[in-house]
Amino acid sequence: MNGAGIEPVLLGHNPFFGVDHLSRAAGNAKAARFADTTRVMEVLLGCHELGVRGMVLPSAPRAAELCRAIAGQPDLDREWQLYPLIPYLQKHVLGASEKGLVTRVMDTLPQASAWQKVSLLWQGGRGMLRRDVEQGLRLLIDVEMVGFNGRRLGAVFLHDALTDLALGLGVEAIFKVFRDHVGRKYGVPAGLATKNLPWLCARLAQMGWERPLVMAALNARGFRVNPSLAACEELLRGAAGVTVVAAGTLAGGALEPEVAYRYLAQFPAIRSVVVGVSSQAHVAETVGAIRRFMPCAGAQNGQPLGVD
Amino acid sequence: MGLLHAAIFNALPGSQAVAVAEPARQVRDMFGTLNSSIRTYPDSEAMLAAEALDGLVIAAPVAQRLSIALSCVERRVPFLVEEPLAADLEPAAPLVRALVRAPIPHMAACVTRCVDAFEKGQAILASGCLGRLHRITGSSYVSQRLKRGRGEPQDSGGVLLSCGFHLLDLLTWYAGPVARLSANVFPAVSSDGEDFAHVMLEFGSGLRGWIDSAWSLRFHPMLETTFEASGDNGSLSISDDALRLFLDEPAGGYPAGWTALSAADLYRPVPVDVGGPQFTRADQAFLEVLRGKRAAEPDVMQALHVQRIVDAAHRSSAQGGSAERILV
Repeated sequence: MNGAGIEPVLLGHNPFFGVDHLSRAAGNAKAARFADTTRVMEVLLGCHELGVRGMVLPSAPRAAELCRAIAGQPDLDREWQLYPLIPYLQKHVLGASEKGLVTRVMDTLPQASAWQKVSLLWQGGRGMLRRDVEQGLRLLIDVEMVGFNGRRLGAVFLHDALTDLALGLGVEAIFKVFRDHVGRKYGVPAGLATKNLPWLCARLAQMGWERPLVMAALNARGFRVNPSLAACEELLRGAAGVTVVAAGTLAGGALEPEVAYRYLAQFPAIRSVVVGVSSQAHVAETVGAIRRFMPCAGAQNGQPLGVD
Repeated sequence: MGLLHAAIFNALPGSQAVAVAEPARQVRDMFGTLNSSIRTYPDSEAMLAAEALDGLVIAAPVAQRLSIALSCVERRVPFLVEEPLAADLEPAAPLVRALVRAPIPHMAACVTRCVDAFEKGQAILASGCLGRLHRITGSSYVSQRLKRGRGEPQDSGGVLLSCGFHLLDLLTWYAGPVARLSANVFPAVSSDGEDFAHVMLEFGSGLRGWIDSAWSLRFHPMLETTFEASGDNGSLSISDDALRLFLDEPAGGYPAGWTALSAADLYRPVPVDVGGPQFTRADQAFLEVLRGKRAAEPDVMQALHVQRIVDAAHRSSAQGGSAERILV
């Protein structure tokens, strides 16, 4: 599950999906602005010129549209890696009480080709009929991944909503199902996103995991960092073997890039940074600061890092 | 939502999730396979009969909440219930009678009160720094009903019973009970309730204001809630993630001029975050209620006052915006 080869700078999806952690109003305004996919592609192409080669993308219906747009740009199609974040799995699980799990799965399947539908339902449906939870989870992962069919992948992340729910409920065994299935079927590392970094890492250590790949909010303001910034700093200083993808690094815009990345540079465990940018000027300033201050992220030469 | 609360209680120090009532077989199977220390039941009655619980979170569909709460009172099991309690006020009478006859610790979960900015707003208003208030207003907008596949049946009943309910709860928390109102509510895309609601409010204190709520507006993928207050000494504006206070003169510990706090300024970490810090804070508050360390706020009676406001708003709109009195 290590993050060898993960891109040092990953473009975040939040601005394109109407998420702004400092202002919901601003997030909703961005959703309106980026409702036109050509505007998203303008940002992506600008990032490409600056050397960005990876993007975190949820498995929402809109993501399939973006994947098609990326496929239509030869440079992006050839050189970019996508890092799916699969939040809709949570809706399948939680929504099962309302509509039933099979119905939830069928709701998602229109994105799949006829052959994919047959294949997915044959493999996963048998497990669900046998009340095989692990087989059912594998089916849900595959359904989530339908929209990314044919795209180059860098890693697949479990959304923090589900990671943290599983942690809280004590059903962390799903992490192993996720890791094994992603590695075997998609050939890339599986990562876990979380809002509780020390708790997750402690639990993974108890489970005997080596070199886990985790994604969490990390910034000098401690914004959305739990249970405290001090606890996360302590973890990062002693985090041998944990590969961290830092998100929320600008504290939703509360920090200047120089301040943000000078701070993060002290933690070698941070090997990649997710940046949420909505304009060309913003991306140039942010990526420039990462390259200047975070050699530990392997970003000095714009080349993908190697963890090992 | 029930699983979210279960995860939080299971993770918070001093509490443990021991049982879950869940009609979906797949979810029960998941626990059976992956964590058998949490026992599962197909319904809450079976769980209440079999378990000796210190508390129960009622996060069932709206139509089932009152009957489960009533079972809790009869079995002396403290409960935390999601808002709203019911689709309308009338079926709540047996629960009210039971709680008056045999009170038990209980609380209604209004997580909007636990959002950093709104919690800080309450402290500012309570300080009295704005002086005599002239008016208060609130809005809540979301695209919920425009999203394909959403809506049925859990959130049926209209926008006032959904995001409008939490907004009204917020205003009554800030300004006290509502005494009179006039409303205009109407559907646009929904067949089972209103999509838009505008309610003019007069509080028991004489303060006036209004709320505007919609769940069928484009480009609001995230619920956006705002509040504004103006008074003799200044004004206060709050959103989900920011707060701006302006005072003519220093008061209540706040300086003259602008005080602006962003989400990053207001953020307070939580011991465990599953779905947002506000849920953790609501659950922590319930634990403190169970331990006798604080009073429940809001309790069922306060939640039912908001239910009365919603009912009165529907009556008012049906009669062309008539003024409706609300029993406090």
